[in-house]
Amino acid sequence: MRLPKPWTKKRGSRLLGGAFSGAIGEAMLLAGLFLLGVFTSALVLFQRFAAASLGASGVTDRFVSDEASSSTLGFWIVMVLSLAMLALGGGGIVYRLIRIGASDERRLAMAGRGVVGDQTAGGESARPSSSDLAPMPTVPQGRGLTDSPGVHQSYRLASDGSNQARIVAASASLSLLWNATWFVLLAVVVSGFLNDRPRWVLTFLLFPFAGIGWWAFRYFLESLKKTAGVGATIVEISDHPLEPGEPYTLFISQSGKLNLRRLRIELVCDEESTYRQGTDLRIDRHRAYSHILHTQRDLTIDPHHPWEQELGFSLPADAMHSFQSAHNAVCWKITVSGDARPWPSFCQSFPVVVHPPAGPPIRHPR
Amino acid sequence: MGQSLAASWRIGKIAPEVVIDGLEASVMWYTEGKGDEDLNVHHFRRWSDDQLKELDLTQSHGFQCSLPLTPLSYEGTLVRIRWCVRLRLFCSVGRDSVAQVPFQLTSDAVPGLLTSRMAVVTAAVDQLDGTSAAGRAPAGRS
Repeated sequence: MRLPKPWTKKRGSRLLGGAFSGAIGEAMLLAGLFLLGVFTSALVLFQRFAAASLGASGVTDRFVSDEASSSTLGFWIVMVLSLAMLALGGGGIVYRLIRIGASDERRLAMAGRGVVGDQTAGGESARPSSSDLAPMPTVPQGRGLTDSPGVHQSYRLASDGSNQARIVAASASLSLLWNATWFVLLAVVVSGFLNDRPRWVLTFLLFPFAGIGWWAFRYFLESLKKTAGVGATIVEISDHPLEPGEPYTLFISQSGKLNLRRLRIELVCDEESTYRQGTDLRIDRHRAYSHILHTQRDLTIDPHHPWEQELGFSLPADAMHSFQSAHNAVCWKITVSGDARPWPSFCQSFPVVVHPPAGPPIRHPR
Repeated sequence: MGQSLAASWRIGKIAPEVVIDGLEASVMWYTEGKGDEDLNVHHFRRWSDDQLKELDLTQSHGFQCSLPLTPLSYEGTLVRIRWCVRLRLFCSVGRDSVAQVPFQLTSDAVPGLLTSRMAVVTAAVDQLDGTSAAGRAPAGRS
C-alpha cells in the first residue's frame, strides 16, 4: 500500500490520495475546529458568568489564563476566536454535506434558480436562472458606455483608465502622506527645543526623511507634467453596441502640446484568462484580432488646435461577440497610441461591446 | 431565448447487479484554455430511481430546451467556449458514469462561417454495458 506523502508536489490534475479519504480528512478537520470552538467558548463563558457564583474555577484556570479571561478585552478576543472557529467548522461541515450526493451540474442548477418537480416531463427540472433569461447572458451590458452623448457622433466612449493616471494618483498620495508625516515630526522636534528637551535622534532623522519627501514630491510633479502634456483623447462612435459586419463611424480627437513620431488608432480584440498559479492570481492576455484603422507619422499638436479625424470601419462578419465570465473574457476595444516627444509614449483604450450577429433589437436612447 | 435544442438518451444494456440511483441531464457551457474553468448549467433535469423504474431505459427518452443567444461556441487561443449535453448516471456500485455530447451554439446569420452541426457520440461506461447518449443540435434559429 502506498502511503500519501503530504510534502510531494502535486502535478497536473492527479490526486495524491482518494477523493473519499480527502473528504473524510477535511470533515474531521472541520469537525475538530467546530468542537474546539464550542469547548473554548463554553469555557470562557463559564469562567466569566458561572464560576464566580460557584466559587470554583480551577478547571478553567488550567486552560484559559486570568489575563485572557478576566479582562473584558481578553474575554472578547477569546470569544471572537471561538466564534470564528465555530463558523468555520460549522459552515465547512454544512458545505461538505451539501456537496455529498450532488453533482457539480445539480449544484450549479440549484444555485439561484431552484429545482422544481416537473411531473409532465417525468423528471425534476430546473428553471433557467435570471442571468440565462437575460437577452444575451455573458455579454457585458455596457450600459455605462452609452451614458455620454457625443458632439460629432452618437456616443462618446469612456477610457478604461491609463497607467499614467494611476501613477499620478499613487505618487500624489505618497508625496502628501510622507511630507505630512515629516511636518508632524518637525513640530515634535521644534516643541522639544522650545521646552528645553531636545530630541536629537529624531532631529537627525529628519534630514534623510526630508530627502525622501523631496524625491516623492518631485516624482509627483514630473508625473503630473507628463499627464498634462499629453492631453485628453476623445473617441466618439456612431452606434453602440457593435454588430459584426455593420459599418460604423469613429471620431477621434487628441489634444495637448506635443510632437508625435507616430499616432495609431486600432480596433483590437483581446482574450483574457485569469488563473491561479500557487497562491498568485495571474492574468494572461492574447491579442486575437488587430486592425489598424489609421496611422500617421510626424504629427504636431498644439493646445489650441487638437488633432481630429473621422474614420469609417466595420467588424469582421465572423467576429466573436464580447464575452465575460468569472475567469475568462473576450474584450473588444479601440486603442489610441502615440510615440510622443518630449512626453513618454501613451496608449488609451476605449472598450466597446460587440453583440453576436442578428441579436435582439438594440434600443437607441437617442 | 434563441434556438431550441432536442436531446435524447437511452441505456443499452445494464448488468444485472447494477442498480441505477438516478440520472441527470444538463445542457451547459464551459470554458477551456489557460484560465480557470467557468461553467454554467443552462438546463437541468433529474430523474430519481423511482422515476427511472417507471421508464424503459432501453428506449429513447428526450427532453427539450430553448438555448440562449450567447455565449456562442468559440475556439480561441487562451479561451475556448464549449457547449455540451452531459448525462450523469448514478449507480449503486462503482463511480458515477458520465456521457457527454458536444454541440456548437452558433449564429445562423453568417452562413458558411458559423453553422450548426449534429453531434452524436456513444459513451462506454464501466458499470453499465453499452450506455449511450445522443444529443442533437438545432439547424436554425426558432
